[in-house]
Amino acid sequence: MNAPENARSDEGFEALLRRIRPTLKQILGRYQIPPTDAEDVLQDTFMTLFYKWDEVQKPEAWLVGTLRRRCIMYWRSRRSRLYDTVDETILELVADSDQPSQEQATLRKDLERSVSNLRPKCRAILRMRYSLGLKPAEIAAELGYAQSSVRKVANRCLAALIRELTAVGFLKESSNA
Amino acid sequence: MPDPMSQTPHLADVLRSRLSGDDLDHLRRLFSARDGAAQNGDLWESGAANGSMPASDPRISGPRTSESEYGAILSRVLPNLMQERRRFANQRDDAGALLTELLGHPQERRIVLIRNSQRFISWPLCEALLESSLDACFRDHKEAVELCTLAVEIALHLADTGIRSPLVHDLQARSYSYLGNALRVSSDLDAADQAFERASELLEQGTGDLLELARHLSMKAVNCASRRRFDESFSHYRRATRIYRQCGEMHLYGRTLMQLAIHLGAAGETDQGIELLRKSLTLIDVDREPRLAYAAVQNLIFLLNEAGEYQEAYEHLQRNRAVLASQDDPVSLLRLRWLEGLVMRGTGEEEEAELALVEARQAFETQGLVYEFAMVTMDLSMLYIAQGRTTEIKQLAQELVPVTQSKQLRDQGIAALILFQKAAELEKISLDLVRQTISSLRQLRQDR
Repeated sequence: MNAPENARSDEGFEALLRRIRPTLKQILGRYQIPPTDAEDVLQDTFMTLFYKWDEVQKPEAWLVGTLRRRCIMYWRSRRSRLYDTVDETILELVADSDQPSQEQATLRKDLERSVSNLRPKCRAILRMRYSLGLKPAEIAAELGYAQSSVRKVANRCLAALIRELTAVGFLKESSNA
Repeated sequence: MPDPMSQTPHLADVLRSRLSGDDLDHLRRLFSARDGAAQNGDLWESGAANGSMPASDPRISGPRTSESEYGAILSRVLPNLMQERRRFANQRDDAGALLTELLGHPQERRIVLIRNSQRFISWPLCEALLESSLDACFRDHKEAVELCTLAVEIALHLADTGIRSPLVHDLQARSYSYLGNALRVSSDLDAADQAFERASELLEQGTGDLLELARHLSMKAVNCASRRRFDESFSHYRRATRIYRQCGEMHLYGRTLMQLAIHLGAAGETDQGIELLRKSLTLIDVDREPRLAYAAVQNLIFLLNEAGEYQEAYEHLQRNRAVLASQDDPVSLLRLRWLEGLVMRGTGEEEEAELALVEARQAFETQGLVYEFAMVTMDLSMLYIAQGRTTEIKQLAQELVPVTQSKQLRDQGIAALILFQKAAELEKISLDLVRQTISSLRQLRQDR
């Protein structure tokens, strides 16, 4: 039986979905996509199958592989957004000003203490970011990184900084939480 | 020893107070993991690489969603999808007419039309332009770039049409990959690199479609090979082949193996190239893409010949001659005649080899196929060198003058041919020099 031909009709497509439904549920369960986002993830995957129907020869294998990759990308993207939030928050806290307040001076001192524990590469990147306020593209130009890779490197350094802060209680659960 | 938790710096406290509860939970999941992926910020990467699922990872522990909840979501999603599916099927019917209409205008006007008329902002039209660009790559490089530029323009505008953005990102990525391919063929390699880079970024925001990724990787692999970045190229090829195999796309798996084999041959890995070509022949669906199957057979014969396996090359040629000769493309038939000449030269049938090479050479000249003409001239000169026919070699060198004056070969190829001419004039031609000239010319071909 030619799967794409069979599934070309609505009935065929529904039959395909019935067959593969347990596997799809299992993938979403294993990757624990939050229910609020699982609908989007599924819609993206099915719509892709419609739009690229002529090229997909084995819809079942394609659906399983693509949904799995979509879940991986979902978490990667969430992690990236999370790093952006942390980055922007730190920037706001230590933003340059002519006359830093006592509070800001303390925050900068804390930041510098944590940054100084990191590898030289990360020290350079994070100081450029938080002390000099450089944008990723400017950091890439200064340090000779490709524009495409500086974000990845910067995120790794930010992760290292978060680990430093975690070691001194950053992520502790508050008592009223 | 003081308890570090009792000395929580102000920064940690303030930062924690500024982040939302969700963000903090997510950070705790990421950074409470014992070690591994989160250490370098690569959550899921290891699972992604081998296609395995994460087992019960502490990073996704916490309130778990049951499979039955996901079942309910699946049931909700389906009815909307069917509607969207029918809407798209109608759009596909209009693509041919739109393509003809759009291409009836000069390029600048086409761009204006796309920017000003919603009719042209169509997914199937974008796909049709991309398909046309592949043919144009063999015919007219400038046209290929123009067609891809139009496709990019449409794909960028599709973001405003209500199609889900990950899908649009996929098509934008594909458009940039095809543009990169067309730019590569046009020898604008830096611009090609940039286009592929943009395509990679867009795919990261796409749907996760594995076939889209594999197609992108295959095209990027060719681009890397053109720039002599063979390790990077082979890595992209291997990733693409894994995906095709995983998705059960055996024809595309075979197709990609064949491309990889050709580049392995070009990188001097002839034996590996032969092995992969043999495998690709078992996978390629002849009915689906007959030309691909012919190309695989011809490349296998060529590499066997290169490896000195003349008898096996000859047997393959004999076995497949009828099928190969049934191709309706005249240039492919000329290439077959050229290949026959090479194989017969290898097996010592010098008269037949000369006849085939002379025939192919004349026909390439008539057809204006400068690269092929130059290459067969080199193959013929190798035969004459072995036979000590200096006068004929000088004659061949003389006949290369129009080639060295044409603009169809790049400077690097012309310089190699001029060196060949000078050596022939001075009767100092050698097999090594001819091999070097062939190598320079082949490099030009791989850059296409």
